[in-house]
Amino acid sequence: MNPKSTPENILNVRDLTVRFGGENVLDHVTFDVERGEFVGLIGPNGAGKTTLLKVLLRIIPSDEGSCTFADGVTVRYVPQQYVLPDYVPISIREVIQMGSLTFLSVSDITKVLSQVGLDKVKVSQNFHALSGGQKQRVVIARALVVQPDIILFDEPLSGVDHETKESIYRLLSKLNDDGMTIFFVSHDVGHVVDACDRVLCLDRTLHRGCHPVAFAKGKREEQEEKASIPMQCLVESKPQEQSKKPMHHHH
Amino acid sequence: MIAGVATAITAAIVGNFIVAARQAIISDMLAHAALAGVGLGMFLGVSPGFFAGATAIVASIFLWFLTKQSGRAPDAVSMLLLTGGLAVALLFSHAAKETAVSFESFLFGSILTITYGELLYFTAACACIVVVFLTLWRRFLTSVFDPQFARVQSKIAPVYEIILLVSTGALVAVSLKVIGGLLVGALLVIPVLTAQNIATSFRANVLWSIVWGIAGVIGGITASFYFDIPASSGIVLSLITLFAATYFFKKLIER
Repeated sequence: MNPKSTPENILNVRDLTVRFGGENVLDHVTFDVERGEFVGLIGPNGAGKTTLLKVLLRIIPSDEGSCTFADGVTVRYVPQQYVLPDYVPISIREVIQMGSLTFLSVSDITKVLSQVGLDKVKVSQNFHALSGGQKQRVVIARALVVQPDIILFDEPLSGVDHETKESIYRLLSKLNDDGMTIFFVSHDVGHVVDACDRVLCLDRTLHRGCHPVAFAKGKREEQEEKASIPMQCLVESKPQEQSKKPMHHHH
Repeated sequence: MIAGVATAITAAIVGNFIVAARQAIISDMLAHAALAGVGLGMFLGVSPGFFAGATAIVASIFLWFLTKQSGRAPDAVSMLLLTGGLAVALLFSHAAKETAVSFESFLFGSILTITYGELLYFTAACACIVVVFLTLWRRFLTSVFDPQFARVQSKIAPVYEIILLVSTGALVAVSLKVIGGLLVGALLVIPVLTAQNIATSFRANVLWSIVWGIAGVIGGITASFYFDIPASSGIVLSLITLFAATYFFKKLIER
């Protein structure tokens, strides 16, 4: 346990640094998440968002610093675009069962399904027959079923239509109102600013005291600028673009 | 017949997990890896069956390590182990020329000439594998469908990944002498594909693949009896016929 942690902090991240190939993909990242908060994390491509999430989930180790969940905290996550192999039939019930190590009864499952607004589906229905938005709700239900203290979301809404997005943000806000702590990684600045209590701006390191919208706009322009520079110049100057690569092939 | 039905049931259960994990080719890989053990056993003049099991298990642990820990493509690693197993098998059989046991009997088995003792040992092994799968069903399901989620959920998730592969290795190894390495591959994969034409849940898919597997075994053995064809070809061909029939039936209904 980190001596600095206070009872209401559910997650403490201190000077977290991750290096791939000698380069800092995350550079002394420090923040806390309090119980009941809805925290957003935004940043441009290659900012280290996914890496940070993987360190939080203990999928990859950090090189320096620490990230500690408070004692006894149950963590669940909702992955980016859920990719179950669609050639294998699987029922909604079986997908949700994955969320728990103990057996779940039909009533456990219908209860959590109604929590995510899926009252009308049958638990025995084929998961692959659902729409994209419904699938995402089932996957959120899978994370909810153990009543975790905090759920981490990894850009869960890339590739779903606007209406679905809106309704899922409403769902998350409702869950948060009911006391669920949410850590939400996204590049969708507008929605994140509306939905979250607090937004962290990440670009290898956390940018403090800047407005998320301004931060995102600045980063976007920077990336566009980089893209418009002829290739040769880019190689001769500082080839920052290349630093993205290690992150993706690492895992 | 009993051996065939026992394999059909066990293979249907194991096969569903293997197909869901996109590892269908490992049955063939394990069969060839086990052949290396057979070769070693022949060379040393001791039980080829024991060495077959040992090498199949070692190969499945290698597979797990190279794919899950070092991130290599599963099909490529399977090919490496498959050709490796074959090469070692060939090497040992070359060194042990004067042996009476033939490799062919391990690839194609001898389902019609199995002894009572072999049958007993084989069914007991199948029963053990079925018990392992029924006990660890939910763990296995999460590890094949969403390995990352499984690892976040439980620190010991990799242990279940290994148990899954090792049990598959054990099934292939014990099946070698009885029904043959190639036939067990067919029973692991084809009934699962057939069931996918019908089922809407994983559990239903397992139950349907047991049905199709048993139907294929009975159909194949019956055909081999009446038409005087090899039992293993009879079984594989009837499994494929069932797949084709359900596939076209499904297409017909969808119209």
